[in-house]
Amino acid sequence: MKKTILAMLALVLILSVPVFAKNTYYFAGDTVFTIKAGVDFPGFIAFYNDPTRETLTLRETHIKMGGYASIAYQGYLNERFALGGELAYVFNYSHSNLLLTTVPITARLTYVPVQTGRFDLAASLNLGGAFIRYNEGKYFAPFASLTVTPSFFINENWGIGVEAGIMVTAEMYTKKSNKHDSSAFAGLLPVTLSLSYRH
Amino acid sequence: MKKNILVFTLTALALLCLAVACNLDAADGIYSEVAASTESTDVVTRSFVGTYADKYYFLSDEGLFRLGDGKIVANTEGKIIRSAYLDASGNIVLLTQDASTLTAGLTYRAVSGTGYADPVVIDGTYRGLLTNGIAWDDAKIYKVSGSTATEKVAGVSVVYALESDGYAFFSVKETATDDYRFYVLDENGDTVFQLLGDSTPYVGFQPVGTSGVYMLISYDASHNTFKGYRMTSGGGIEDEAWFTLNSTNQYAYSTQIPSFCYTKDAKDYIVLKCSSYFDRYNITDDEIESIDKGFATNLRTAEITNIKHISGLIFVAGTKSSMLYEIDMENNSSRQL
Repeated sequence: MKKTILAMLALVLILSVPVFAKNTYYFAGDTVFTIKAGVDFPGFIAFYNDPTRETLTLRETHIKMGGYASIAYQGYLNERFALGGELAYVFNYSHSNLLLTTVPITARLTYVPVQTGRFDLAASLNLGGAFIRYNEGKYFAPFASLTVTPSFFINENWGIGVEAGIMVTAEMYTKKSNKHDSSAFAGLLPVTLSLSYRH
Repeated sequence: MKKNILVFTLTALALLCLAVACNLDAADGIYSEVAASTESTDVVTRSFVGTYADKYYFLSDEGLFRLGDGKIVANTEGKIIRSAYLDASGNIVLLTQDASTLTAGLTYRAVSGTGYADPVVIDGTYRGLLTNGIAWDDAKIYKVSGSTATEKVAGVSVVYALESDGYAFFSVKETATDDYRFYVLDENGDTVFQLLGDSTPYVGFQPVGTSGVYMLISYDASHNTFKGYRMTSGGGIEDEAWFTLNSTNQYAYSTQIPSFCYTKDAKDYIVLKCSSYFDRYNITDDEIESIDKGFATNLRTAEITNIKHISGLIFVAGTKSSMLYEIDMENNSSRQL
């Protein structure tokens, strides 16, 4: 899991250097509306306040592969950075076949180092919160995601792409809570197809 | 345009802040509960019936199963198996309800080779059968042995029955006086003791070793708590609660709280299944704690049907959606069978 996260960070760092394209396509004020749908894989669960429990990865999390859908709207602040928001719905089933839902509501900052007009390569950081629900439990958790999206535009406005990355929610309890030991970071790995309309 | 984007972003963040202000805690950590979820199967277990020749028998909503061999007696459209008893020789007795008449009867199936002989119907209609072979009808309590049901207690109408470790606790109404009485019966159906009862709906029963001490659990509605009471043949049920459960419990009113008792390092414990934890009462030190680690890790969120002692510090739990789990208190672990 650590290798995956390091690989993701390395990729983002590489993307942060716009060596592939010196020219830009976008202008400040351009907007992009994106719909995404796909799957998400279990990543990890780390109970950071409980030293007796090791970090669980992949199948150890007892989370099954699930689904992901979202809508996002962003506007370019300058030629390379776009800011906006995203609303997503993520669902997974546990080993017990109970539904785990995650509904992130986030601000989304996208950096587009490669932009040719036909092809974009973008890295996005989402920050916000997510409503999570499982069995009888509900919680509003801080949420962050880091994703990479190569997109191909079939004409001036419409593009399709593939987005992959990692999203992390944090379930945090104070020392006074009897659930302090249950405090956890949970990571899911979404892979989605995206349909974008830019204007 | 920049202004629009900023307005959109700020609105989204404002909504987030509002949502954070409405933070809702789960009954337990959500991801902790997910990680503790047990592998679900298509079989809905109703009870763990017992073991014979290293095979595990359990009753599901489809019939009687032998783990590894599948279904050995299937429910049919007109006949539903309500409960089952596996004797020490591997023979089985089934309480089967007729769908059209709603009456239930007992049938005995003797082991024959690798299968079973034709079922033998035991005379009478019955209302209940425990996994220790104690059955009852509208007026009597019986012990079933082979294809015979032997009368053990007469002149009583059973209100409810609990069982654990071969023993049974019956709350009955005497037919002649309409008075409540409590009976404790051993695995042979013999009365260990009886005492004047009341209408208390006890939801837990556990013999404590061979000391002649028994635990009963009742729900205290005024404090929304579950309390354990000590019962002995000489002293009856003590007025003062023995202990109070730490954890919330969904086994109230209608079903028995699964429990088991063990001794380790010269200390006696009673373990009871609660909603998201196991509560363990240390009898020796008079302390109670909630457990979600060790053996409880895999089972604390599972819906357990019943728990039976197998040998030493090994127990087996039936779970509603994950079939059977072995609990090893020597190593403080559990595993799906």
